[in-house]
Formats: sequence, C-alpha cells, structure tokens
Amino acid sequence: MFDIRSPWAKSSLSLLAVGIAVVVLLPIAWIGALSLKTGREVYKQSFLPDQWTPGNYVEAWREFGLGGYFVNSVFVTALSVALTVLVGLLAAHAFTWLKFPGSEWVFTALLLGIMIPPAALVLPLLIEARQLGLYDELYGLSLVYVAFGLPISILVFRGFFQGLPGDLVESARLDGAREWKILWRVVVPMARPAIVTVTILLMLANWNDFILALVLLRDSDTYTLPVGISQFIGQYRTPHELIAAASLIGSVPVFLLYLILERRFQQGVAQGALKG
Amino acid sequence: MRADTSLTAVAPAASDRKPRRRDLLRAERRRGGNFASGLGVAMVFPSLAVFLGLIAVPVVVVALVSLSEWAGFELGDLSWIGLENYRSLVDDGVFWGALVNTLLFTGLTTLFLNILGFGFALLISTRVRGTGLLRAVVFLPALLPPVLVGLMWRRVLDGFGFVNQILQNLGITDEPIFFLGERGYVLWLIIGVTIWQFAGFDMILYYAGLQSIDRSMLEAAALDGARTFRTITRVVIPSLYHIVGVVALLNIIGGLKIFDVVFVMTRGGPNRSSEVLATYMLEKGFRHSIMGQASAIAVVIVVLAVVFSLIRLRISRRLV
Repeated sequence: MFDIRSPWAKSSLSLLAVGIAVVVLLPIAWIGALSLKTGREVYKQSFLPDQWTPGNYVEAWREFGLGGYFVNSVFVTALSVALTVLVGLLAAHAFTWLKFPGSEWVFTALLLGIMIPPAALVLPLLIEARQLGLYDELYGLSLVYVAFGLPISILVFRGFFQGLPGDLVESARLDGAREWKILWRVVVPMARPAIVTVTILLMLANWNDFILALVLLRDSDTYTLPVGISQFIGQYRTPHELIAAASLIGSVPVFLLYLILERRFQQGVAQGALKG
Repeated sequence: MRADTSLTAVAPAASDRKPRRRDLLRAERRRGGNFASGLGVAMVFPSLAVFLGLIAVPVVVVALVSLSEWAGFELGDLSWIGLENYRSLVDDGVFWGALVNTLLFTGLTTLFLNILGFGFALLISTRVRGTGLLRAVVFLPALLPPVLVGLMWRRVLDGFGFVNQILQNLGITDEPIFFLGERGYVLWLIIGVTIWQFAGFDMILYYAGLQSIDRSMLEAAALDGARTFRTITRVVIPSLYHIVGVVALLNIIGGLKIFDVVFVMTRGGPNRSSEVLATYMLEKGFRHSIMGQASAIAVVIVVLAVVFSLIRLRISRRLV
C-alpha cells in the first residue's frame, strides 16, 4: 500500500518487523523450551534444555488427566458451535426472507445480547442452571455458549443474506420448494463465507472460555481444558515443566487450525469484530 | 409478547396438516398472507427462547438479587433490602480499588493496543520482507486461551523465570525479583501481558481498515510528492477515524470484563493490588456467599458494558 523504494528504508523496516516478531515469540519459545527440560534443569539459567525430555508431554497428559478435559472441550465446543450456527441460520433466514410483524423488534432485542458480558451473568446463570438441571452438565454449558454466541452469529448471517440476490429465493419459492429446503439448498451454499467466519469466531470464544466453565462445572469429570489446567496452578508442588507442557497442549488445537487457515482466521476475526 | 402468541396460533397447523400444507402455503403467498410469516416466527423461536432464557432472564435476576440480602441457597431466605447493597459498595474501599483497577486496565490497554495495532498494521501494509512473519506471529497470541496465557506468563515472570534470567544476565539485578508478589508491579504486568496478547488483534482490524482506504487518494498524494509520513497523517488517519472508534470501543468492552488473566496470575493480589470487578464479584458471591453485593457488582459491570456498547453502536452505524 505504501510504496517503499529506498533500499535503506526497506531493510530497516524488515529488521523492525522481524525484531518485533522475535520479541513477541520469545516468551512462548521459552515456555516451549521449559516444557522439554527435566525437573532438575528447570531452575537453571540456560534457555535450551541440556537434556531434551519430550516425555513431559506424555506425563502431563497422563498425570493431569488431560485426555478427559480435552474430550470435554471438544464436545462442548463442537456441540455449541454446531447448534449456534444451525439456530442462527434459521433465525437470520426468517429475519431476511420471512419477515413477520415485529420481526425487526425481535432482531434488535436479540442484538442487545451482544452488549452483555457473560462474566457479569455467572451468578444468575448458576442459580438458573441449578434449577433447570443444567449445572455441572456439558450440554448445559454448551447451551449457555449458544445463548452468548447467537446474537453475533445472527448479525453476521443477516448482514450477509441481505447482500445475496433475493430473486433466487423468490424463484425457488415459486417452484414450490419448502422453506427449509430453500435455506439448505439455496441460501446456505451461497453463505459459506459467512458460516466459516461465524464458526471460527465461535470456536475461539467457546474453546477459550474460562469463567462460564469455571462457574457452571463442579466435578473434575466435566472440566474443560482451561478449567482443568488452571486447577493445577494452586498446587505449588506441580512441576513447572509439566505446567508448561500442559499449557502448550491446551493451545495446540487453536494453533494448528491457525496454521491451516491463517488468512481466513484473520479475515474472520476482523469481519466478526468490525461488524458485530 | 406478540411473537409468542402468533407462534402458538400457527405452529400446530404447520406440523399437523402436512398434506395440505403446501397448497395452503401457496394460496397464502399468492395473497401475500401471513402463513409464511408464521413460519418465520417458528424459525426465530429457538433463538428467541435461548436468548430470553439464558441472557434476558439472568439480567433481570441479577438486577433483582442486587436489591436483596441472600446467601444464594434457599430462595425462602431471600429478603429485600432495596439499594442497601449499592450503598455498602459506595462505602467499600475494596470495591473502589477494583473499579479503579478495572478502569485503569481498560484505559491503558485500549490506548496501547490501538497505538501498537495501528503501527503494526502500517508496518505490514508496506509488504517489505519480514512483514508476513510479523503478521502471522503477532496475531497468534490473540487466539490462545487467556487462562493459558496467564499461566505461561506467571512462569515467565516468576523468580526463576525468563525475565529474571535476562535481568540477571544483563547485570541489572543480582537477586531475583518476584514480580507477581510486588504490589507496585502486578497491575502493570497484567496490562503488559494483555497488550502482548491482543496487539495482533488490533493490528488485523486496522489492517482491514487500511485495505478499505481509497487507493486513488493515496496515489494522488504520492503524485503530489507527499512523503510517506504526510500521507499517513493527512490521508490515512483521517479516513480511519471510524475504525479507531470501533476498535477502541471493542477494546474497552473487552477490558471491562477482565478476569481470566488476573485470576490465574494473581487472584487479585497481593493485598488486592490487582483486584478487578469480576474477581471481586466472584469472591463476594462464592467465597463469602453474599449474593446481593456480588450481584450489585455484576450490575455495575453490565451497566458499564452497555454504555460503551451503545456508543459503539452509534459509531459503527455510521461505519456500515
């Protein structure tokens, strides 16, 4: 966008860019190195381990029962994202193509949900979850994620639908197609970019959530990764190299997805944030 | 509520009388009637139900509980005490400390995130070598779970951590500094960690904004012989005013609900020097079972978030 010509300016900007990247990455790299050290080496000054111990990851996985937390996190994230996208698509379809008296009001009311920080509602949610039998249940937590994910999803979906050619929906209707078929066969295939954006946003939010899971789950059998791993920090005897390994294990899924979908991730996050 | 009543009136017809449904639908459509709109209500209903049940009702509940004295167990033990909880918050030094810390955290992270985010976005938009790496690396921490980021930094900052290693190797200190045990440091460190984590997030937003600037204006500026710096101040920044507003408000709203990093790094300590609204709320609610006061703090968080969200809505309306 800016045409930098002078070679001196070019190389100093490159240097600056690489320098910043290194500084940002160093703490993670240090944790990565720590996670590969033996227990005795942890307090030594050296950056890299003398004795590389990848077995720490296996030990952390077994010692802390990360497998169970991992499965819980995957389950909650998958269920909540799938439900939110499905329910959000239905609503956005109606808000765009099947307006009813008062639908704009309902739409505005739903959008108010974007303003409410989940952290502020943990107490009443806990009270309600106990009453409804959703407390300490993974599907209950998923349902709460659905509630907080819906407003932004509906906003993004409707914004996208409004840019689609309405004739296609109209002509499908004249052909006698049922509404859900129109949504599924006509609208959804065109809306794929919006669905990807929403899926990325929701996956990040729900996989990373801490406070809702902390409050709404009680039993260690139901803990998600962030809650499960955070439980070890209070125990000062927990070996540092294992905490480091566990933290990195919890970050890996996001990191892998990011590697595969880097630009889409960035676009998705930007679109979701700027439009929401 | 109108949506609910029309749903009960129409939904049974949609499911019970399948054979005639399509004909009915066609007939209705020809008349531009409201059968289809009944279907619309049905499609919105799941969203509305989840929203009402798990956001709207809790908002009302938290507001009501904030007017009561209640330990949180038996509903029968609840007694109404009006605004007493808010009055005791006003007299509560810890609450004010948490509020000040939250606002300080929010203000400073917003300021630095925007400066760095904008700077990094300008840098990557030059597309010189190395900026691809910068773009990928700086954005990465924004994706990680804040809890794990807090855990990692807790290690990096402790007595045997990376920062102390650097300080000792450079000969700045001999004795390790226990950063997270120092009243004077902790809030600043939490602010620093948050900036480290989310600078890339702001960068991506500003980069998206930069892409939307009219090319011809930049070219015109270049033809006029404007130097890069002048182009930035005269063309780029003025056309990004709205984006600045939206991004800053996003950071503000995110900042007000700060919890995860504080919880794992310091639990609000030492001696409450890093207490924020959300940590204090949970302490009141769960450790001390004073649901009324905890709810009053929650209401403060909600009100702050809603106020800034409304401002944001005004700005982004103009944006889109």
